[in-house]
Amino acid sequence: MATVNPALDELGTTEPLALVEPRLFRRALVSLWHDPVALISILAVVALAVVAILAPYFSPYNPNHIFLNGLSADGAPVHPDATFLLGTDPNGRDVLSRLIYGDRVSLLVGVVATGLASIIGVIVGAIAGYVGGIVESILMRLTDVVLSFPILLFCIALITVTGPSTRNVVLVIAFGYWTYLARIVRSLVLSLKEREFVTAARTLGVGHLKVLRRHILPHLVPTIIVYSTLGVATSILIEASLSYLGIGVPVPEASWGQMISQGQQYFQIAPWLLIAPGIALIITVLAFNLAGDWLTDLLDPVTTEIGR
Amino acid sequence: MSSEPTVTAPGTPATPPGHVTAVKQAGAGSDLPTPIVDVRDLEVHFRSRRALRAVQTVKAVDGVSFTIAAGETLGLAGESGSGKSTIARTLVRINRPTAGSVTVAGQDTTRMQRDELRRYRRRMQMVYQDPYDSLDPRMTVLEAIGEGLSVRGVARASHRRETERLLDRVKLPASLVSRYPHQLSGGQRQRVSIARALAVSPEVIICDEAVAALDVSIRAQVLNVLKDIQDDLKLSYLFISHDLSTLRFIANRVAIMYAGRLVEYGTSGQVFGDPRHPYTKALIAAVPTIGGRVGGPRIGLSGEPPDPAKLPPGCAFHPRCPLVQDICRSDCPVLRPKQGGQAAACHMAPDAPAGEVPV
Repeated sequence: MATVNPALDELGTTEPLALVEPRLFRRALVSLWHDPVALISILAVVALAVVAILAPYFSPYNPNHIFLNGLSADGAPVHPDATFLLGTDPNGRDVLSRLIYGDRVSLLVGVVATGLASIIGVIVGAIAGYVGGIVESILMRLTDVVLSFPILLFCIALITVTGPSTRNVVLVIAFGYWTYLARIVRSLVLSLKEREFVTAARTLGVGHLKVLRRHILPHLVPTIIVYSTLGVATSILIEASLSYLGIGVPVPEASWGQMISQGQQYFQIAPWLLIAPGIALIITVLAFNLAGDWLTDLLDPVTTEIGR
Repeated sequence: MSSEPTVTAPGTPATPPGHVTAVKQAGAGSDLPTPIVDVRDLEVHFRSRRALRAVQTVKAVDGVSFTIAAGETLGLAGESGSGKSTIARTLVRINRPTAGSVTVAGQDTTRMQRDELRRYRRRMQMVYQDPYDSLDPRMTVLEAIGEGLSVRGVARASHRRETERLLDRVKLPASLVSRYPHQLSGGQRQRVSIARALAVSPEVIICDEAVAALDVSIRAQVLNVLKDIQDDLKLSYLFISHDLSTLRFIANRVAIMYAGRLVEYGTSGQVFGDPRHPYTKALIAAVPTIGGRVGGPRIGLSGEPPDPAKLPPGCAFHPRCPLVQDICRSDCPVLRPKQGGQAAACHMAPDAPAGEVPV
């Protein structure tokens, strides 16, 4: 047979090579360029993170400082002006500064709580799916029990036992949210462990833990990333709800939920008290949700793993 | 290799009826290799338990015995659902046998646990059917083969060199070490699978429909690679295929399965040249040929393979058999030596004369 392509001949075969998958990072940039909504949401997430980390540099004042000129002569909050860009609250504190520090609390609670929830969820789901049998039954019934409560109600019940503090809010949300990931991870592991490459590793003589770590966990990463991103949005909402009810982040620390709660009492004379944290909350939750949607498309294994 | 009988391992209890290791050609010498794999009366049953329903037992494999000698290829053929893959999965102990024994190099593997089992797994490797599923899409060729090398205890520093050597064995260029599976073609992937199996230096390789998913031209390349490796390393193969022409090419001996049992078992020449069981005849006649039939007149098989949960009484093949008689509906035929030298499980095939094949 005449050699048509020396590269093929060198391989000792006439089979054509499969096309090389473009690198993930490049694919991400390309898809962002074509998807302005995703681009904006990613930029918003990045901006929120930067503001949260560098809060002292962005914030014009100390968020807990009570200004003598922060209240008008009749004791009402000051309207937005050049000194207080978003006005003051009924205690005479700067709303913009509190909003910026509130961002810090929201992201901290959202990210840490979701991180903890993901760790618990992945461990429980992976063990249940991989081991099967009675272990799976026990773990999944436990998951069902937690899942049967509405998550907000579950968190409220827990926090009334533990008492409100930022740490407890994080723990309580993590305890309510892990179930979602546990279920998803279990079902993924159930199908992964039947794949031939897992069987092949087992028959090579590779141990169970190594199989889990090398052949199963890497395949869960895209799903974990997507659900964690969406989980941050949910966690932030729960934190805001708890703080709104007065059982979240304790005063005087700034938190959006608490600001909304206080603002609604003054809505008629000082609407910015409600509008500013409300908009901040909407933007944050929306940005994380849209970013999660975009990641779902980007990391979808069907499009990522060619030939599968 | 053509008329190679096997010997019964010394010290084994009385051979049960229908046991095929007893098929011995007259005048066979004592220089025959002891079988490396000795499967006896293997049964693999699955039970389905559903609430408020009777327990159903599916006899996926029901009393199968065979041996594989060192350096030999045993072909295993049969329809989908006949239990071929269950045998393979039981040999590598993904499934547990319900009864019977699997002896590999003198060791009974059926009772093995944990560490002992893990050490055993090295000796028997498997190459899978689907080249798109048997390699982890997130691992390079080096990592995939390196996993096997680690099991064998090869130092990490020499993984690359060893991997390149193994790739050379399966006739792939060393430049593929850092490729991911999706960057390889089906034939290349299948050869990487073979290299991965070789990484733990096994004695037996089970090829479960290993070439079924490949193009015909690629199939021949892979089969030749397998033959070359066997010649070099004296490996034994259990080659499972529904494609009889592949088996004719690669197998020394052939076993035909139907509904969880062996129905014919003999050398490649015996089974393909002069099949005794009507099912084997039908399978051979069904092999498509170009320009005239090689397999003789076509024997059309009507009906479906039986539901393994509800096997018909007597011979499982009788509802589809062109030669069916009353005895077939009531008595299950045992596998016994027939005229021509091979063993078959059929009431209608004449038994071998007692003098020709001592049982």
